[in-house]
Amino acid sequence: MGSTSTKIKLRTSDQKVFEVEKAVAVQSQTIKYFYENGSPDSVIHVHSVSGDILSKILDYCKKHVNSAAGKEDISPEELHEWDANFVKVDQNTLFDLILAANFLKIESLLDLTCQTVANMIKGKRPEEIRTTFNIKNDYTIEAEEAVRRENKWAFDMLGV
Amino acid sequence: MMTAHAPWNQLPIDILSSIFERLDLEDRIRFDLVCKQWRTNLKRTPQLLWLMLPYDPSSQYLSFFDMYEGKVRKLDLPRSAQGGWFFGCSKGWLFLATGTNVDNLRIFLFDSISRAQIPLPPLSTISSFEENFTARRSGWNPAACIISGVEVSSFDASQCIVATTFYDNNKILALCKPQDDRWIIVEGLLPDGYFYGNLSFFDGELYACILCEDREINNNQAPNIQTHFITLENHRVNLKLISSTPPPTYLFFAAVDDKRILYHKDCSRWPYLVEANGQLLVVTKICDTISTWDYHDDDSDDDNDEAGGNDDNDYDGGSDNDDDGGSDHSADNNDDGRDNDNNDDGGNNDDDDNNDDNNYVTSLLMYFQLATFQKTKIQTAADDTLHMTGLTDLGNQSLFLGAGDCLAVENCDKFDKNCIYFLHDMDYSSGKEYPLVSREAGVYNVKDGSIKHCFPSIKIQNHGSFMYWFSPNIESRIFD
Repeated sequence: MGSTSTKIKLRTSDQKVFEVEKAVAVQSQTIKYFYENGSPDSVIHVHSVSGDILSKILDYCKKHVNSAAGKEDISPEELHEWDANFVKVDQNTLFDLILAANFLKIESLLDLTCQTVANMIKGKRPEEIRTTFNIKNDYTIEAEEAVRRENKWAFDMLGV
Repeated sequence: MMTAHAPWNQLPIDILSSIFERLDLEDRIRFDLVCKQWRTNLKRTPQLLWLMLPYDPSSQYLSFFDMYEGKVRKLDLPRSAQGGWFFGCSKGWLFLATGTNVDNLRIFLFDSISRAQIPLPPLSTISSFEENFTARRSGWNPAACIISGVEVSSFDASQCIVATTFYDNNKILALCKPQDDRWIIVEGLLPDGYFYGNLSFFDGELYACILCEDREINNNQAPNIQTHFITLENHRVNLKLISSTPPPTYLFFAAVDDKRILYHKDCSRWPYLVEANGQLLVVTKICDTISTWDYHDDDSDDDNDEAGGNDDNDYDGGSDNDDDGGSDHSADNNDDGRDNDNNDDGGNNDDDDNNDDNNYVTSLLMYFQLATFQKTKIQTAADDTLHMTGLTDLGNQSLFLGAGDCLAVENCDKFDKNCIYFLHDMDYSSGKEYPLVSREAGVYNVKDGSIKHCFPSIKIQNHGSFMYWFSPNIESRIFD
């Protein structure tokens, strides 16, 4: 089929150029769209994604493409574990991965990263969530009190 | 590369929503408190669906089973609402009554979340209330005995209209706004022989199913929708009466054990109105009966204990079933117009015993068992008239029907699709046999008609001991 020969060129926000196998690159719906609607040889600018992040994301796409195509002998459980390790990154990287997955429209990666954030939130009190994600509490004391009062039922019933 | 902290508080809304949707209720509320952006940028929380568990008036809290999250939630009742009776719910409001007689009866809307209590006009403003009231069984709350259906037009108590039907032959419909002094009684709209069934506010109008149990009267079975206009203070309420439910046929089916157990098909029909996907559906529950009878001769009546579900009650048959024709075996329960006073044919088939004066028949139990559901939708034609169209399928919907809120949930993986989740909402008793055990709650599969009894059986002690579907309104508080 010769599909291995088709490459797509990507340029990142920090001007790094990647030459990527088409099958891997089109995991991104955004790249797929630009590729199909532009001239085949042009370089696609993924200007909101840095080289480091794109490199990580391409690893992810490669793993999943190879696994789906049977090029790599990996069980679904093993792939799942690979995914779990993939998102074991610092908060800043995770943040960038989410935004990049969102921009590049890679559904499964967006799913994975959002789920990772949700798991980090689960069971934590608001103060703990703020610490985890380094979020400044921008409620005034009065406003927070008002929200808490409003949700008094939840604090009573659910022990939030 | 970014060296500063990532601005998590500035996540795009669709990503925040995607994270939010993966959280359960508790975590969503905590999420709300993290920072202003996370709070104000969120999409609406999805509708909650709780199953209100049978309420014990001596309890200090209400218990709900959260259908989405599979856990029991308890909400404290304020002292002023404790010891009261629960008689329905609609759009996040629970209807409660406290008091034991006409003079101290207080009925109010109760928001289980904020614990707001909104008083409703006294029922004493409804004529015929008092005689009804005194005719009820002792130990029952008067409001729960008299009010058969409740519905509010919206959660906003300052705007909403409350509509109520009453067991007084179910011929009275009353409307009020919570701050009113009195109920506005709507009478004289029903054709002879008809009574009110389920109510629903849909698209700003009040829809009411009306039913007729008598085949002689209901010879015109064509579905029919009539519109009436009612003035309520400064409001005009459009009331649409829907007659689409033919009377039951009471088809005799089988008798076993020397006619001590009788089966009848199609003995009760009860329509529910439910809004699904922007349309109003009329879904009619059709029940068969299994009835058990006791044949007495002289006083030696203690050897007939085979009645299903009834243990050692010693029936005092002489008080109200004293002729051996058997035709009045549910006579002491005919306040509940929609179920129990329509089974007269059953007993008449079997009064062939010897005619000894001392022989008589006692109804032990009239158990209504779900047979099927009929589904129709209401459509507006080009000329603005309304029509009923039969439905064979509910698609991706799951319907939740019962005495409380009637709800539709679209395409949710937590629930069986094309299915009807139904609850026990009928009074089965023949007058004396409390408590009863009901298994009439479960999941009806529209495609193959199968019924899964996946809810626990409950003891029925009175109307207040039913389970209700309830969709609490938390959205307006959390995300305003």
